[in-house]
Amino acid sequence: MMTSRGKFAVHTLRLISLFSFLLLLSYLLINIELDAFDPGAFKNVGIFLIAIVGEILINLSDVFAGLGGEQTGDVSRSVIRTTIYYVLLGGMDLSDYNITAEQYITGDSFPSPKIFASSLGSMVMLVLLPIALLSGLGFLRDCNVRLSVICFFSLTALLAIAVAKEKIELEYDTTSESIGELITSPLFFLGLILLFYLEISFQASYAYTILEPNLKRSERIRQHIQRIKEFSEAEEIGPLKEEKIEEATETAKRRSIESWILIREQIEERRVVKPRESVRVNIRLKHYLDNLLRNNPDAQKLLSAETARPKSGRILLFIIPNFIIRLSIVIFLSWMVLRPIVFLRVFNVPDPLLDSVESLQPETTFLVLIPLVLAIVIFSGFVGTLQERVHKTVLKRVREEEKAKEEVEKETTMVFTGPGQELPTIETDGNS
Amino acid sequence: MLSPRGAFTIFGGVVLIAFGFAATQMHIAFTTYHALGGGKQINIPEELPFFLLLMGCIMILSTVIGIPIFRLSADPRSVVVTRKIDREKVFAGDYVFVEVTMKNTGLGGIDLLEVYDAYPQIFELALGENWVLTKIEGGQEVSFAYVLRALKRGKYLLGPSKVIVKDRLGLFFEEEIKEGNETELIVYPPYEDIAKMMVVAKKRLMGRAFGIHKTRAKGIGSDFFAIREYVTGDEFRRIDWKSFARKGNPMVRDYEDEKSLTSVIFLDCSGSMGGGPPANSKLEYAIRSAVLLTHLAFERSDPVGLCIFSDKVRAWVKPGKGQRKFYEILEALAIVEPGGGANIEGAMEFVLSQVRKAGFFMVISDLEHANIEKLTKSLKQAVARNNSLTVLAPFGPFFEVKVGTLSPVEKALAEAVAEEYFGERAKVIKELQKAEIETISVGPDDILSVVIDTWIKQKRVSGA
Repeated sequence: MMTSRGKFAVHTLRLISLFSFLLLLSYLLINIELDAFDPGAFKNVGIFLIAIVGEILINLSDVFAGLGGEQTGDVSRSVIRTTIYYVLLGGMDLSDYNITAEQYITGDSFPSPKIFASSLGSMVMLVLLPIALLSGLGFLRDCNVRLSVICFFSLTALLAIAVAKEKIELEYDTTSESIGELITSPLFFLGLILLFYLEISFQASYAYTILEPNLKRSERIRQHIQRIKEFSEAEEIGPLKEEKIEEATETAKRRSIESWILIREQIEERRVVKPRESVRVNIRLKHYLDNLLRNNPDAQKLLSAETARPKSGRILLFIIPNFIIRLSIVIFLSWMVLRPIVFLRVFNVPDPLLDSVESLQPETTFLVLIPLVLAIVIFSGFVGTLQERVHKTVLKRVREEEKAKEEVEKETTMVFTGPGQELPTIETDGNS
Repeated sequence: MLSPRGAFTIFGGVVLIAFGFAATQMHIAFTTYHALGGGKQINIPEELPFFLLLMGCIMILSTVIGIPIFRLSADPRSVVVTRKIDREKVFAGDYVFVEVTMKNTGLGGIDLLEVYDAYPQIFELALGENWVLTKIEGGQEVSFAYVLRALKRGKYLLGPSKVIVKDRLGLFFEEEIKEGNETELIVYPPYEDIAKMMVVAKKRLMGRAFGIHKTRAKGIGSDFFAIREYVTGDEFRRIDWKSFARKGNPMVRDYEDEKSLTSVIFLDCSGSMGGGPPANSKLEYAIRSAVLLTHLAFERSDPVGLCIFSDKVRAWVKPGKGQRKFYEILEALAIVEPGGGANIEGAMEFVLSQVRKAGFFMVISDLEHANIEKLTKSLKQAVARNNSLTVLAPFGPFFEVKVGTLSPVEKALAEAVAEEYFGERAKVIKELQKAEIETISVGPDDILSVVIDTWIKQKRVSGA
């Protein structure tokens, strides 16, 4: 029960990332013209590549014939092309490339590179779509950032190809200076959703990273302690039976990899360590643990690191505002970079320069992007220096406090318990 | 500072921008080529460069804006890591509860804090984990704990701790190893042999098992021995009035005489004693023997001293008794490491200058590279001072070779080597026997029982 409660933040963020992923995917599938995903693209790419290989072979045969003092004529080239056409291409129709078989064999015409490029784009799109789909859904399983990054780049590439193929209409006004217009433009909006997905997947991964191992650890340690508490010598004496191993293996198969490793290690340990020795060690651990839990009520919490486990709801509370702020800053800075005119105007850049066609070129983004990045880095350095100073002061104070605390403890020890140190006690495990 | 994820994001952004510009240049190149009459127009949509540029900028900016926030909040130096252990001294095989506390002395919270607490490899992690992954606010304190099992005696340092702080998106990280926050832990030799003895004693089998009986001799002790008739010269305070009234004659109470046997253990820690598997070397068995002998003596309230030597005296614990002395000896034994040559004569000379009262000397040494003449002379000197002396000589091949694991060729070689060793050992024993010094060759299986037998024998001989 505790586990599902503890994962509240993870589940919420997973849901948000699923939502953004589906939004993105549906937006793309609705807006991209369906013929962009032409399955015939594979065939066209294949034909072109085979044709290219054929031309290489022809040229090579020319070279070798030349070396032997002979010349290959149009007939022999035609023979090679005919062989390629019938053997490798199976005598297929080349109308997709706007040529006929005769034109290809005689060498009058060659499959168009433009059609090849277009087909290649379609083929890549067809490959990228399932990759994006699988990685996007795969991310939801264990919040693996690599999968979300793969999904992000697949979708970006898919979109870029669709734009290049003119299979999606994304209006983008390069002259407008308004931030509102920028945000509402389909191109920027799509970019924003992509960023939203990437960011939210990173945040989900963070929540997963910080909560999941702690929850698993708590559960694992709790079970471990329980096993030690319930340990009895009679059950453990004698080698582990094969059926027990099989049973453990079956249980492990149904569970996660971690539990499989754990169970396997246990089996191996019992096989390697002499049963008697392992029993003795376990009994000793049981006695120690009993004493420990009796004398230190917080021991179990400390062992399972429950005290260090962040609260799920609190994490969510931190993540969401932070995420909104980050997104807003990125939008604002992107506007500054993509609409450099507004920013340059502040610095009194001459009007003829601002009004020129050049200012609308993508290169102008560098005028703002590089200084902006540098300014942020320099500012970070300044913050770091300040932080260091504060840290030194705080550390000095902490050390003074600790010193004072130690002195007080020392005095107390001398008054009440004497200067002697605690000595370990010899215990017998009752089993020797 | 920039994590692989952060570097990848920035690199991805740069690549996208580069593709964006490449698309722009291609657009210009194709348009110009077409304008110059160079074939068909290849159109690259105007939106493509902007889209790639947009994505690139977004990726770079979303990474870069995290830097100042990270610098402001995440500083591993602001995390103070302290470690607390439930006991600073344990026996080998015992468990130690290690509690690690992290305090964020900084003002800002740390989104992701990883702390790894190092422990010596010879220890075994019995329960819990030695790392934690958490979020910590400014001024907040969090703790975790784990249980270690100390497997081998020695002086160890737990720590240092490694602190890694990361931002929430995992784009940046800082790490620091907290040097100087180590905690010292002394692991005494194992007390299993003692524990076994104690269990046997509890089962009232001590007498039968080991033949330990009190040597009863009447004297002026405190334990009652018998009642007898009064003879002239007896102290009045020893008259038993009840018996006097009952018998009509004056009767006196006799008490057991209490004699103590002062033992000094000479432990050779020269390099040759380290031979064999680390946990079962001659030195380890010698240490176990010393622990057992000390315990036996202390059980009977006999004083024990310890001299650990190699080519010089490495540690000297004056003879004494009581629990504190016991731990003093254990502590000296805990930190012994094999090394150097063996100078038994020097050690004997030193001890004789320190101990005036005659007692029982037990020398535990493999006698390898010993100068027989000098050795005999110095041991004779000890005997001449009315000390009884036994040399317990662990026999190297018994400790160093496990016959079961050897191939037939290796087995033959081992036997040849053992034969040679045995010849040398026989020579040394012969010489020592001439000087009436008892020397016993021991292996791992019998060393402890020989220690017990020798000590009981000494107790009987000395009448203590």
